[in-house]
Amino acid sequence: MIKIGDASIVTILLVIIILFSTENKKSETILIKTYEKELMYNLNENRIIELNGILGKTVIKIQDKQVYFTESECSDKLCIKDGALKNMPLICMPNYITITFTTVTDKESGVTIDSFVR
Amino acid sequence: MNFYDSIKLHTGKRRLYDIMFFAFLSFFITSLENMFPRPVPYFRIGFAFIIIITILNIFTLKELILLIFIKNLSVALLFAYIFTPPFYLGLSGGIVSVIILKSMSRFNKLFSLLGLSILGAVGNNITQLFVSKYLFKLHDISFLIIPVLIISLITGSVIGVLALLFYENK
Repeated sequence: MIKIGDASIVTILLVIIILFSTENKKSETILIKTYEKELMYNLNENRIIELNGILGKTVIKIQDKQVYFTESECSDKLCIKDGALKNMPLICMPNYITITFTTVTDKESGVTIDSFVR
Repeated sequence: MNFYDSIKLHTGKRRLYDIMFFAFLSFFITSLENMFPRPVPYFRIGFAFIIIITILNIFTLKELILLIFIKNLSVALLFAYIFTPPFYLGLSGGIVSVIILKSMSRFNKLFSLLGLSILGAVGNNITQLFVSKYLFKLHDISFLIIPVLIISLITGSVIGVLALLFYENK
């Protein structure tokens, strides 16, 4: 027999899932992390980025305010199949490269820097 | 008398044998499940919890934790991943979910086995998420919470429905 508590648990969980999954985390800057460095880029400029992962070369493309993996040395190519960056971070596990949105900007200078290394 | 009710009357050594028996049952189910390929890596329904949910009222919390420990240890021995991260993940998730299940099974007028199993699945998976944060030194796990909740809703309801069918036909 299904009781009141069960229905309430399911509805609470569904409400949490719907509330948090519709939250929009998009911003103008992205953060790319590799095993050796962290890079920040602005999404407004189209560019092609070549990075070294643990396995080898990875190519990331920024075009029309979208960022995606185009080439990777990993075997599954899940990062390329994921497509453009949305709410969920793009992660290439075998090559140790992640792409996320970030809210940190260079406030001190006021100059937009197209990329910098931390 | 019901099969489960008669076990409640067992005392002494017989109780230990009962724990071993149910630990073996859940171990058997888990190892069968481990032999099949998984569609998503690390994703498992966890059919062993059908057994654990049905015996909640028979054993005390300590005995249930012992049961989970025996089960996880033997599965890890069989599949040779003992003392590696997946072993710690499974053990911590199992123990936390058993604690949640046992404490929530007191409110049996409010929840049926379905609600219990969803709560247990949520507890299990969230614990595994937080333990994996420290085991693998992940920086940010907040994006994983929503998929984990969706997965635990699915697996918890599958286990709950199966347990309801299994338990009420007794």
